[in-house]
Amino acid sequence: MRAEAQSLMLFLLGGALLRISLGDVYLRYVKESMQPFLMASGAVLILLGIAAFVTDLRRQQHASGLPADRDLPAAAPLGDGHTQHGPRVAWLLLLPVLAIFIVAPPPLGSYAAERGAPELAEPESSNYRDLPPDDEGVDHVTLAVYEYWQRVVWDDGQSLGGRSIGLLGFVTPAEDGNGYFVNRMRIACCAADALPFSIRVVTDQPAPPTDSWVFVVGSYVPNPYAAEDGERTPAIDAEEIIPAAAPANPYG
Amino acid sequence: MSVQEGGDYRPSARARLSPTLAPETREPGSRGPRARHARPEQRREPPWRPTGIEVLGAVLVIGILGRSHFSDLLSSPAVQTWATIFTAICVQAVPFLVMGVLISASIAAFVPASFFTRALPRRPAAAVPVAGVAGALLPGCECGAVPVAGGLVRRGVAPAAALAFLLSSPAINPIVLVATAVAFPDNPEVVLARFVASLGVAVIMGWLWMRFGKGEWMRPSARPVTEGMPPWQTFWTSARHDFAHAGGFLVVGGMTAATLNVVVPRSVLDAVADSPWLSILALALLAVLLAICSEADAFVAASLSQFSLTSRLAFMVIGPTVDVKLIALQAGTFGRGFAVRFAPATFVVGIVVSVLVGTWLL
Repeated sequence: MRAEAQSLMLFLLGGALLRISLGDVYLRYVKESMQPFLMASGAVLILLGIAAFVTDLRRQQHASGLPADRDLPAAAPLGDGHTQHGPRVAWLLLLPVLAIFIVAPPPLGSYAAERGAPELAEPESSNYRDLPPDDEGVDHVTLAVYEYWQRVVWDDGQSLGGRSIGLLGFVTPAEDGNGYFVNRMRIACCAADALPFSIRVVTDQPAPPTDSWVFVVGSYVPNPYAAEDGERTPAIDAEEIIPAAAPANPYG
Repeated sequence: MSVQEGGDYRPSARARLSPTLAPETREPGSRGPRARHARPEQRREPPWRPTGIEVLGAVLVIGILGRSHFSDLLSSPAVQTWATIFTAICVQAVPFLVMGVLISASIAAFVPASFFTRALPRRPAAAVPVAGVAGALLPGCECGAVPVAGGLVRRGVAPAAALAFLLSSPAINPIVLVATAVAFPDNPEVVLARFVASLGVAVIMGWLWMRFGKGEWMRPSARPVTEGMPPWQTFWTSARHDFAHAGGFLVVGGMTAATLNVVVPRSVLDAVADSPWLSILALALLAVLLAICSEADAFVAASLSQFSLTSRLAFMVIGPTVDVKLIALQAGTFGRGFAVRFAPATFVVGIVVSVLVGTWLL
């Protein structure tokens, strides 16, 4: 691809990065801590696109007698996928640009959660401290779905006894129609390595729409549907179910 | 590092070289002033054909205008999940690519090639490990290490040491190690394992070459690939070219990871991942096929959560040393005989070392 097209590609990619990092959209893909790096990289790529474009323009003006648009010597025996003008594979950079600007991929939801997770190995040492005190002004303590899951699966829920616990997650349906699941995806590095953590909600109320977010307040109970869900699926006996807004950071 | 490295950037050297270089760097097909008079029909304008810029513009316009239509088409949950995973890997990796490209372009533009030759000990047996460790200091994507190694050989550095540098520089430089640490936040031992294994592969291959390598296997291309540009021009041009190259392959890696995560049935992945030898071999082959820049391959490796840490280590150790892009580049710089022997040997050594280090550390 020609040098000008490469520079334009870099410029667009920088713009795409800035678009998602000035705001909350980037949280669908990567962790919060990446925000300054995304902004800086976006700015650098925009600058690089412009500077490279200008540099090539100047070179064309000064290099009379040499062909205008090459950035590599013509007979380069490199054979590594370069056309005369540059690497063909660079065209693929259009894909993330288009994805961000046109498709705006959503955070991982029910499809990813229902695909299931690989079996996690029990950590060698786990020490579950007492639960923190109740949240201010209410009679429950909010836990991350992942933490609730760990305390049930690795610790048999011993630290959870008798307390009211609040869980924020998105809904996936249960096949048998008894209640539903509240889920949260947990990422180690970025959305590509996300693992789902699902908690069966024991309740008589009908299931909210799939992928909607709910705040479930309830208490620990051994999973009455363990036979269908699998032994490692915790449950929560729901007292209150409050529809919630999707949080800015969908992973937790 | 830029593909254009290979010669000296000092102006005096360029001036001496350029009269002999100029005929070789001219476009094939142009014959000089006399030809122009003899063939008047060459002055006719060639028919207009759409070039990259026009195609790009058309794609963007169609994409923006048809945006809502495309969003509907792409609204299936599977496609959206694929798109999210793909975008996540690309977004996560780009800052590291940018850092790597900026540093390697700076080295290509501002550090004279003689710096490397002066820094290495004379005896090959000692130069190999030193060159291997030196790779830790010089961030550079794989594509840049090959021309640098070619330049080193041309300047009289022992080929074995140049090879050790060739293998270690993309794999153990600080940016790659930081990226690996970020990609595996719950497993910091992976960073140490990567460092040890990659350095081990580089040094072993260097010593193997010393012992078994024959001079005629390695024929670096005779003329240096310089443009005679001032340093800042070299910087911007190298950075642009290197990022375009590396970014393209990153996208391939992102697409593959997304596809493995969404399209391939879980049962297939689990079956491959559960078998110790099959999983290592599968990821090693995947690393060869994907040709991802070393600053970014840790993120793809992290996404393959079914696979053991050792097999993912093999993915990260083998990728920077042998892949389809590198084989082509090595064949171009050092000759086909070199590539045919070097690539399979590196692959085997890479697997063995990864298994040993993985079993020990992971």
